[in-house]
Amino acid sequence: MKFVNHFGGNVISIGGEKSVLPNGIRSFLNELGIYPSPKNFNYLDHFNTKDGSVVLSSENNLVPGNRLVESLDNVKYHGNGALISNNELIFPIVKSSSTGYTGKAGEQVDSSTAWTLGEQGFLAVGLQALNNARVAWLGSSELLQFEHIYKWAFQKQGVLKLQYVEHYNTKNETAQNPHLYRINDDVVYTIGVSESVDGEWVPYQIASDDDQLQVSFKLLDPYQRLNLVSVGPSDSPDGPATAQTYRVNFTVPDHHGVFTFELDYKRVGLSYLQDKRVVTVRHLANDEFKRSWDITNSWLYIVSVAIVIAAWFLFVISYIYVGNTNYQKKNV
Amino acid sequence: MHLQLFLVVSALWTLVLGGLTDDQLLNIVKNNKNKLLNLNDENYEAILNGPRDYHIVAMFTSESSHINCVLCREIGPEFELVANSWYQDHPEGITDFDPEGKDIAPKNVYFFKAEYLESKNLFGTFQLNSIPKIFYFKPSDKAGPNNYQSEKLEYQFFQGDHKSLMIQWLSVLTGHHYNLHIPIDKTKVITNVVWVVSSLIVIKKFHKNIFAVLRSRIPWSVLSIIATLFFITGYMFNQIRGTPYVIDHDNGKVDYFTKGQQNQLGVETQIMSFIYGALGLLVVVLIKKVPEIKHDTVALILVSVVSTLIFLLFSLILAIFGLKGMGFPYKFINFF
Amino acid sequence: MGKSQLKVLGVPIETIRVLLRVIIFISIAGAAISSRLFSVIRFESIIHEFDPWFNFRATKYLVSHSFYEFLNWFDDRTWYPLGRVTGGTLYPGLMVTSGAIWHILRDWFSMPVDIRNICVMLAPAFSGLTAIATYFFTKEMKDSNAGLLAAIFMGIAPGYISRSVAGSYDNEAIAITLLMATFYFWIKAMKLGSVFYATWTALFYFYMVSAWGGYVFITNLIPLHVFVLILMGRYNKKLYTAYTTWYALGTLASMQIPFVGFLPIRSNDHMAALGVFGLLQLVGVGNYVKAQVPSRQFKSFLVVSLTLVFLLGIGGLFGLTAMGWIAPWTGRFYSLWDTSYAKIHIPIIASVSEHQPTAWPAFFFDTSMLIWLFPAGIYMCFQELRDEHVFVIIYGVLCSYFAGVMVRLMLTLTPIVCVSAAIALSKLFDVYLNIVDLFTTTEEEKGKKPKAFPAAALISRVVVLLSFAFYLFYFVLHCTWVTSNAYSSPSVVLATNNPDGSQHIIDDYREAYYWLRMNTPEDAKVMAWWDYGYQIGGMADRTTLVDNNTWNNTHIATVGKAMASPEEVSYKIFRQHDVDYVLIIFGGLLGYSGDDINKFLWMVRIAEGIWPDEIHERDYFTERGEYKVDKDASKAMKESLMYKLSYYRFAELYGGRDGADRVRNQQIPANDPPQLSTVEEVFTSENWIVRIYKVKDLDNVGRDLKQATAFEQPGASKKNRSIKKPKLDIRI
Repeated sequence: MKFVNHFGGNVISIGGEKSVLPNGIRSFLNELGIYPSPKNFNYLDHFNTKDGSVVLSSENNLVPGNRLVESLDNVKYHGNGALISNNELIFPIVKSSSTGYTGKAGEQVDSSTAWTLGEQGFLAVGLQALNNARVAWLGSSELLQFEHIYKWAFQKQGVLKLQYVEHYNTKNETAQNPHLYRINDDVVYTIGVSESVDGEWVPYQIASDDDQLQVSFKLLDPYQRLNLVSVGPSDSPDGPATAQTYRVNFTVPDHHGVFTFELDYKRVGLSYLQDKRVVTVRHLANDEFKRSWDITNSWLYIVSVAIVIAAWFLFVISYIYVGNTNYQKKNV
Repeated sequence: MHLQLFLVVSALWTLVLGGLTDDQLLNIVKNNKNKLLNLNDENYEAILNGPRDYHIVAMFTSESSHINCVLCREIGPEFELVANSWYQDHPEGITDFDPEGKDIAPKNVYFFKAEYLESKNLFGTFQLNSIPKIFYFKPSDKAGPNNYQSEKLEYQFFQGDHKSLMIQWLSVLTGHHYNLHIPIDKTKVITNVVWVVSSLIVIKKFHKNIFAVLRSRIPWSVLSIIATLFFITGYMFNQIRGTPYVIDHDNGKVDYFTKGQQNQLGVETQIMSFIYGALGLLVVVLIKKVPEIKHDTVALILVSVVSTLIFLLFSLILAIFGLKGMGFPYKFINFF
Repeated sequence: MGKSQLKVLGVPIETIRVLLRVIIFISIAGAAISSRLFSVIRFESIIHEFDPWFNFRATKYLVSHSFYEFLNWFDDRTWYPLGRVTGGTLYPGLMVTSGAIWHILRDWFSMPVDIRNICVMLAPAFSGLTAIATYFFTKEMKDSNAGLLAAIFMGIAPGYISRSVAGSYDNEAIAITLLMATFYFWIKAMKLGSVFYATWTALFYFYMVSAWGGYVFITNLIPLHVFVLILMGRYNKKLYTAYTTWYALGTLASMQIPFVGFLPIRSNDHMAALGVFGLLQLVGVGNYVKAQVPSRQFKSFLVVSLTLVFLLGIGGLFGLTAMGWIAPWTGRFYSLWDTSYAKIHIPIIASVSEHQPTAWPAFFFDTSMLIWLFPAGIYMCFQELRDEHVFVIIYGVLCSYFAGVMVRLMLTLTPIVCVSAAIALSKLFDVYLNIVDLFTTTEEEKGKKPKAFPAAALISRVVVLLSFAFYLFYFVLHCTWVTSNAYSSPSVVLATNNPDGSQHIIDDYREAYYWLRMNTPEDAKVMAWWDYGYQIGGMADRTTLVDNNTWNNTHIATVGKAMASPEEVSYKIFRQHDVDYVLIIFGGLLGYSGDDINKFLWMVRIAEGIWPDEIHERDYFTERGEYKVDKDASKAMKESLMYKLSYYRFAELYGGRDGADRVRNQQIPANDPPQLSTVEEVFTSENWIVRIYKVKDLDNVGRDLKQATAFEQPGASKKNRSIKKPKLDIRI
């Protein structure tokens, strides 16, 4: 347990028709949420049986979008089935067909004696922990023919690396990763991602629209959630042109607070990419507002002030001169 | 054949034990002046036993003076207000029975009140050990007696304004929207009008005297000084906290003072404002009256008496203050 | 023989008087300052309580940044993740004052004083100034004798000391000085009709606005004074000049404070001042018309115009309020008039102990004998009833009401109690102190008959004088005792006495805050109840979620909900708000009653205000409606995070027996200890007052934290031979 949890180790566990899981490994797997069937339980599927052995097919047994096994046709299978919990980190690779079940050989099958029934049973399951440790459980050694599975399990495949994360204000491009933004600033957010292929770091290209890299700009809730656009390969600490650059530019919302750039990329069969950058978005400072003439509403007041001043002058002049003559006239 | 028999039996059953129909109840309500219907030993089975095609809200209470239930008397008018408001909005019951787009199918709501003294059996079947209680019974298809026991939902008396709390509670349960119509108290309006008119007449008639009083400084000074005296002796504390006047012990002992700097009884305000007022008066006497006395010896006697009184009263304040605890170390005379 | 020629030892008597006065002033200031130093001597030069820590932090920011940076300060270390526009939501007067003193000392006198010491000493220093302002104010009421008495009363009255001991670096520390100064200048301006003094009034009013939210008191008291004077038929041009000058300048000036902004023309709190301003114009016009036209015409003119103006004014006020142009009165203001308003509508105001009503012992405690001289002083004011005496009467009556409603307003009552007590007492001394009169004879009596030795008169004077001298002496004792015992604890550091009488210092707060500062990452977010927000920000320098500036009720309710909910719910809140540490105050071991369990109901209430569906106050009481934490505690109580955090491992201290909570005098059951799975204890201070927990990360392999914790427990992984089919939800 510690091996996976703290050291990020990788484990592959294989069952079989006759094999017995040692208790330690079983409880380890149970802890993760994988429950392989016990001794003497076998995966059976009477509708897809040929020559006494279950034959798997892509159509019935393959979990789509798993990236590890592409086709399963005509694979003979002698092994166990497993139940899995709702653990989000587990992803099934090979599932039971809707007519398949796991039960004790030669016994009557019903829901109480069968270990798995229908599509809730799984024959091969992978788990990638948050620290990218990987665990694979295969119901039978026959599945080992798919080299992708153990390549994946031993971190030879599907390993991504976030090379760099940068963000800056378009008004001041020299200051990388500033801590402070102002509301309504324009921001550019850039990341570089590499993939390990045969021990070499190469730029990682997203394969389809489902695999889009996304960044959210969050304050409790995401104010922006944007797809990153692939720009091209760039340099990284691992060598020139080893990382693919993704970038997006957007406007900071009109709301001050402490925001987080959050990159959370979790795809089946690939290492997780997670990154959080906390920045502060401040309000306008006292000298950054519009002033006097720029505010159209103020024109009225400026004019009225001018009129009051002029009127006062007129009043004073008339009081001094006009009033005086009257006074003298009266006296005369 | 079987089916027919069953139908007949069940119809009979309904007549004997089942609830009243919606129309029956609506008629009763319409013909009743008091919109809050009575629930008592005679009618409760007819009303509560299922099946019911309506919501029932029933308050179990007692406002008689034998049972001294303060909360009952507080809640009663508010419950009645909610009931009356509902009937004011829906004098013909609700007309729109279309369940389309609603979580709860719309049904009529009826409000009942059960008085303990009139319905001891009813209270017995509910096994209540405290009142008031407000129960809600949802519409039910289940025929038969005593199903309502398991179908009831109890209103929780949280802190706050019960009118609006009840309305919130009910609208969640019944799916209706409730308005509050607080009736204008006519007697209050009339007394206010009478009061205003009569005071206007008085002002008109005696306006010269009134102006004279208003212009004279004596009433104003008396008023302000008395107000000040009350305020600085914790009058507002009594008002806000609703402190008891004195504490009566079972053995006949009466406490006039409580401990603690942030605590007091109603009577303390009176005692302290009297002492403060007396002290202030004595000082005024020293300042104003004594110099007017021409005869030195009389003045001396007066001064001695007043000074002694000041000393005694001040010592009394300190002694009382010492009673309040806090380890106050100063004292002139040991009164207590 | 004229008075001006009177000489003692060849020095004119006036010079001696001035000299004496200066000496008296210096000793009053000395007394005022030294009686505020108890806490510095007993403990150390440290900032007290809660709010002062924020003021201190803001002052540090001010002296390390420019003034404009301070004005535009956006604080991202409080109210995470909302942040606080601190520069625009504080009263900068206090910080600017101490910042200015710091700069002056450093740049002009080359005295590099630590800003902390300036902050600690600011309040005592200003108390000396308050005494002087009170002197001038009272002098306007009576004479300099009364002024000196009022000054010494003000210097040592505990009601004012409570907010101005060394280290109590709060807005009130300088606000009372400014209050008295503003009132002095107002009286002066009103008496003389002087634009000069009215401008000074406005200037000090501006300073006051920049320093304390209580400026609203002045904004309403001066108009009220003017209004009453008009009703009494005492309108004159002097009043007009003084008020209009003050109002125009003062309002414009006050609008320069960002936090106040447009309030003076938008909020109902300020409408009285505006209304009286308008009324004065009308009365001015009316007076002018009265002088010009015959009285009969004037009467009809008066009636018509008055009704018109009245209707227009009322209609306008209601209309504008209804249209939302004028903000209604603020909640705190409502709670002054309708005393149950706060309890029902704003638990956050009602939860503050300073907003509780005042019982009579508090009045006596804070002013001693002055409180019974106070009504006598008011009576004396009624006897003379000059314009300025009306001011004292209004101030006295109004403020005694306010002080009765809210404990913290004792502070504004104290000055007027001192002033009117001084008026009464100095009248008394005027009558009895003048012993010389007994031996001098008037011109008429001269030569008629030789006077006998006035023994009776002399004795009566001596009796009165001696008894009041004794009372004054006692007053000093009382003030010193109260100050030393009640108002000199920094509340950050607690002191108790050991059985042998020696003092024992409990320094848990600082121990814990220092631990946070040293052992947590600099950007760690600490969640605690809002009372401790300022202290965490000031002493531990860590980001907090809520603090004593309670501007966002929802955010506070969120914290309340996290504390009141079961762990799983709280954990979601933690994750959403990036909380790293949770800090609670627990007094059960020591018997420290100001702890979080005692404040817990307020957390529940405030959370219930926002989430009435999820939190119910009733659930935290037992069946019988008692607030219990022992084995009878309700389920919601036992499951709440606050309960668990408080009593986690508490019973272990008692070696298997039930733990004894010394605050609530209840037994904490040992057989059912609270289990924690989403947080882990990282720090508990010496006396268990402060407990800090770290919020765990998500489990690496995706288990929920309860399961993960159960797995880590020793002995939990017992060998289970029989393998059973697990009960699982259908995987989606």
